[in-house]
Amino acid sequence: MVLEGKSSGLAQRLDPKTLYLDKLPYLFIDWVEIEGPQKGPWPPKSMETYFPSGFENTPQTEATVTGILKKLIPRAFRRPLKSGEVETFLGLFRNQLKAGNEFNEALKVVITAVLCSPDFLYIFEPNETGKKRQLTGFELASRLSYFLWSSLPDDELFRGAAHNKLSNHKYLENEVDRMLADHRSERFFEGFVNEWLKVEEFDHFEPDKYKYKEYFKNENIGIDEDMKREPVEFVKEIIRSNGSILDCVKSDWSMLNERLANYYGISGVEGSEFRRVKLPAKLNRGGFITMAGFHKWGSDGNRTKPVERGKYIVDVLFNSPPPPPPPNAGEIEPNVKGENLTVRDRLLQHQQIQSCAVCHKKIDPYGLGLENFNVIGKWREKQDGEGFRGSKSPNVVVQGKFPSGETFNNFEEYHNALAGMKDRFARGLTEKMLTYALGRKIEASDLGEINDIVHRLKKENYSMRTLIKAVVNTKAFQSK
Amino acid sequence: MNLNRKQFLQAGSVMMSLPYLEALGNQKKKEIPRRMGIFYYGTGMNMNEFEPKEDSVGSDYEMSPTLKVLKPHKKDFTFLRGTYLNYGGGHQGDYTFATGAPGTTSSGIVNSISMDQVAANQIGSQTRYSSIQLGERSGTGYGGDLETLSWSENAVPLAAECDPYIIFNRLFKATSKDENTSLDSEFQKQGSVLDLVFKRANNMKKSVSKSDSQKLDEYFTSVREVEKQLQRSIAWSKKPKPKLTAADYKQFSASYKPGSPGFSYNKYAKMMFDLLALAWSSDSTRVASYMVRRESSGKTWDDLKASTSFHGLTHHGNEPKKLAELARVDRIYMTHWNYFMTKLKSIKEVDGNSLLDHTMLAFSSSMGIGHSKDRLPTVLCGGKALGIKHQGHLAMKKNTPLSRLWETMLHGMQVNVPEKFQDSTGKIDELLS
Repeated sequence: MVLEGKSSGLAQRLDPKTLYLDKLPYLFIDWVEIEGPQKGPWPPKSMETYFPSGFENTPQTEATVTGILKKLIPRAFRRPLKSGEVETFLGLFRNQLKAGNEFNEALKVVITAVLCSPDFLYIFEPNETGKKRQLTGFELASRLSYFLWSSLPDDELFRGAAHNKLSNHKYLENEVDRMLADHRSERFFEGFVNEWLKVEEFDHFEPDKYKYKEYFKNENIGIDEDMKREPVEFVKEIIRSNGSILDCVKSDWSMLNERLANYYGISGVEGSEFRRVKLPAKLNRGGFITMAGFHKWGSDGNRTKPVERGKYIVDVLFNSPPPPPPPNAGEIEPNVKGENLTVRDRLLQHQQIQSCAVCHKKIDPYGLGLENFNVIGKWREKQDGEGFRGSKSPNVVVQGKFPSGETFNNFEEYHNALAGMKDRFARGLTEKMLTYALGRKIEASDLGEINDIVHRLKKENYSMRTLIKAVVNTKAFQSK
Repeated sequence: MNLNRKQFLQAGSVMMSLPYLEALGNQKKKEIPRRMGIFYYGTGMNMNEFEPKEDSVGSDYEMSPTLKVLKPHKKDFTFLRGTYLNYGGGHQGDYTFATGAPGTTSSGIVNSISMDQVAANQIGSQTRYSSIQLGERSGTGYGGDLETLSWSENAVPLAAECDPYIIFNRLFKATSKDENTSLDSEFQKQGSVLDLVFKRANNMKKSVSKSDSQKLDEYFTSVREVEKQLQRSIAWSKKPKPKLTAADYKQFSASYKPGSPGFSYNKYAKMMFDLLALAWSSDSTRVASYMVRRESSGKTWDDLKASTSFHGLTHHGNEPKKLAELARVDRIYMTHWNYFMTKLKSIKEVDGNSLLDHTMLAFSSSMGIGHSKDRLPTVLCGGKALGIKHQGHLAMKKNTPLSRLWETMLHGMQVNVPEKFQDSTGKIDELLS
């Protein structure tokens, strides 16, 4: 763009009245005023809650402190006040005044003490005898809120606990709906999905800068963040639309933004927010195992790692992680000079040596079915990565046999076979969800309840919402 | 954007912390203090170029290509061949490196006290800081890749700091008279809070289940640690500060966090090592741990000019080009170590020896090459005035536990070592005169 007009005008402040601008579009910005930083409402909500008439208008007396403690402690400790509790903290307040501190300094010390108390920092479920017991309403409210909000209960949950409503199954399930609709459930989605799908590990390997130049193009800057976001948004949407957990394995939709949609070869998506997008069948996408972040995880920057991908699937989807390899099993050797075998070919040892095959026939097929997805999660028909380049590369071979005996000869067959393993997946996810909700490993005594949940899921269209409701209604969740 | 909860919880192992802490040089001490530091290079090294030839042992060994970078200090370090980390070899080796405990297991994280804290517990009260923890990032990283090497008695990880500016201010920032008076008031307040919460925890302990009781013990450890620090702070707040040069203050006058705009890792490495040298020479602490490179580094530093992340490099698949690049990067890290040793050597003590002679430094990794539990890049440096006798290339029996080196260092620090220390079979006598 060439700026026409008075050449002398460029160095001086432009005068809109005299500059010759007929041929150019223009916008003159005369001044800009910036106000900030914006810190949100002032005074902060906490001041309004504890000093409703304003700090200056509140009498600086012990009565005020007592009032504050009576409000703060049940909230912080997530249960009604115990006898003598307020007195304990009041004692601290008095000592602070005696030590010569001003009212507000003394009060700060008391509040600090409340927030440093183990009652606040820890989830306290007393059980001296060690025998299983039913949780109290308040204990159950906390379990619920830390499960779905990663935070303490809100007023409505506290009320439900106080009036013993949480012992009612229907009430509890309604609360779950309410909590999932609340913005605090975002922490559940991030927390659960990130742990379940190992999202934090997606960035463990960076694709090779030379072999995968595409990944580093300008339009793909930030794609790693999108890849980590996709599964989280996906699960969020399943819940929001009361969808089926089976979509996790195979779906005809995903959650995409513009950059990720373009990455997958889908046009017409605009903007950086994630939204539900119908996927064209020919793209072979839909479900966790087709998401680029997972493919990147199951590669080492240079080549795909089918065994790792297989391990991921049986662990993440079916909760049956394989036993560790024997010591000195080593990594796949690179190609001997002159040869140019694909990763799949080099894995043949796993099938040929009996002591390897025993375990690997239960792992490898799950990973070998994904060879069409390369190191950066793009679809490929020909080998790439390592030493493979251009049209002379061999075709990707996708072929295998599941332990069940079912075979596949391309990705579509593989994906359909996986989608057919409904019960296995339902059970795996139930176990994972229960583990997350309870914060402990599954024990033998939980198996009965897990069976019941899977049974219920089958009857209710494998709804993910139902899964969560079923989990909070187990004896395991409601007892210590 | 809200502070990510997980990050917040990982950032601090101690729930309460003391804001006003100053360091001190104890110039009245007659004895030159004994110091130690342990250093971790995550995800191993190219051991083919790190290990000297198997048959070239002793002080006159032929240096390997990577060790050659440390040639000026050949007489001041020993490469220990044959070390092994029982729970190492995997990407959770950072958990077990200084503790010898299993670390991450399928039922959760099982850990115990790290070797540096064994020393810190016994001699830490003699310095303003019983120990310091440095890392590439601040916090503990608990549950993921660790940012720190140090674990306290009840297996509570001690948060590391990565910004030299912050560490410097903690150690050396001067306080005015007014700040000193308000310090006393702060100490009094914090002492009162600790008193109250400790009593509450005691009450709780009576009614929790056995496994919950163990969790509560972590809380007690935190409270006790803060109490100890508080008492030390009170004692030290009255004493004069160490003397530093104007150049020192200038060097650490601004924040320099890894990853900040215009960040140079080469510059940062030198700053961190300079800082450690200052911390030791001012006797602000005698025990340090530094996670120089985290486990599974998914990124790399621009000025290392590597084609991929460090972790990516270690997955070389035996490709010669990749292996060569890995070795090149190893050698860059060694140039920083060389700088460090030179720096410590240049600081003279009153007995004519150098700071390096009065400090034992050890670096290694939790894996060798190709995720091996053995062939660790274990090197012990310095400490000649503490009774360390360097052997150049010392070949030990295959699969010698790394904890034997830890036990040797603790012996050099003259602290008590428990009867059964990690998986050690005894200190390494060849290294002790």
